[in-house]
Amino acid sequence: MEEEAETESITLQDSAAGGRIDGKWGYIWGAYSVTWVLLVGYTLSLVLRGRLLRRSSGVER
Amino acid sequence: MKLPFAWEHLIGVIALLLFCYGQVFGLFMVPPDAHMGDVARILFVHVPSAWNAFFVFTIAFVCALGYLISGRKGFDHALEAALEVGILLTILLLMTGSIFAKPTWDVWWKWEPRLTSSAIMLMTYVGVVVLRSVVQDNERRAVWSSAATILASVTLPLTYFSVQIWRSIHQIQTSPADIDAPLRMAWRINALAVLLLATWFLARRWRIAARRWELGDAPPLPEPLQPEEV
Amino acid sequence: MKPWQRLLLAFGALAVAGGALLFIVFSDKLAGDIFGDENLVFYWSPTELLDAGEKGRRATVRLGGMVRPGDDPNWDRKLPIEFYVEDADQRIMVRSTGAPPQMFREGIGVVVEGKLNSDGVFETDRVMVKHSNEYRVPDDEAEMADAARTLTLD
Repeated sequence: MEEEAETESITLQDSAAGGRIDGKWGYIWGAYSVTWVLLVGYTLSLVLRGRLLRRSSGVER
Repeated sequence: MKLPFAWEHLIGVIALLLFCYGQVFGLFMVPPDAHMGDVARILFVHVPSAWNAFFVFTIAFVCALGYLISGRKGFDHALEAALEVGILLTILLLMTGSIFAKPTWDVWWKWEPRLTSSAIMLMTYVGVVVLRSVVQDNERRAVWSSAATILASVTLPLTYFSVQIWRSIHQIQTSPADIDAPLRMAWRINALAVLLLATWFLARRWRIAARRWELGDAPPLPEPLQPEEV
Repeated sequence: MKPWQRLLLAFGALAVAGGALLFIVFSDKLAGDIFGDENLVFYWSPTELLDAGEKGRRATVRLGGMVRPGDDPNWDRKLPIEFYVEDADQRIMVRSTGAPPQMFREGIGVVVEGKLNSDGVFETDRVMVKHSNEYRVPDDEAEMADAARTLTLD
């Protein structure tokens, strides 16, 4: 119990130092990865749908 | 109404280059925010996706009005494209926002005015797309989804001004004077890149919509692969 | 469908949309004027919470305002953390058993969820930080910012 309180107070000490978020690059990479996955995924879906449609309608372009 | 030959690919190439540059610029070449630290870099994708989602849904609104006034099918193709691209950008907006909220506010999601109105906006436009998918006849689909889009547009000002209308934990819109120059530049580059990407998406999606219209009663959602085509 | 029918539909939809927008924006404010009670309030200010009296003590509510340091000089270094949330007129002592996020500091906006107890202390286990809409380069990075500025030709 006491140990837990001590680690918490260390966290707080860090946070009290200027009130600035330090690092946390995991969130940043997460957000940028989500962006790329969504945008690349949508691009692929457009290409795929375009191809399928061209084939099913028999139109060459 | 037909678009000239694949002009959009030129924009697509510029968009891809600018987008890659914008990502590297935002991630590595710009200093962190004084208080949010490096996590503020998430804003370089979050804010541009918000601006562009609003912009693309506004295009959908204009196209819906345009179709009902003129009856030209080109407006319906553009509407179909804008609905889908707007939904994509809104999903991106909500996901990056949620990832940003955890380290800054300390929660992934909160049912507060901005987040709630954005979620309603997304659901409303998904509803319009579902409506399009159940109406078989081209013209009826165009007419009724145009009307539905005009109704759905209510969520645009509501979401945009939600931070001013109601008390919110989300920060209100900022002005260029409140952003230091390098951070502002990172926003602008990324916003322009996403705008160009969205333009390419819209043009490609337009062509798919146009072809489906010619085919007649094809549903706007992708059909499953036929066995012989795999 | 005839063109005039489509036009009618367009104006009908516009009218409904405009009406709905006005209703949503003003109905809650109107209800506030008539019944003295706005429903769509994400958090209460210290003044509002204290003015509400007993009603404010009964339920779990959100309290929002600016952080003012607690009485203990080490107020932000131990749990439960004790500080004041204030607005222009009033302040309420907040005791949180949960560690606040890193941006937490004196003068920043916070929203806390919990209950006002009988001693007038607001007890919570979660402090959410509300960031302002300003985005600044840190002082110690000023040199880097200058470098970036020349890069962007801004």
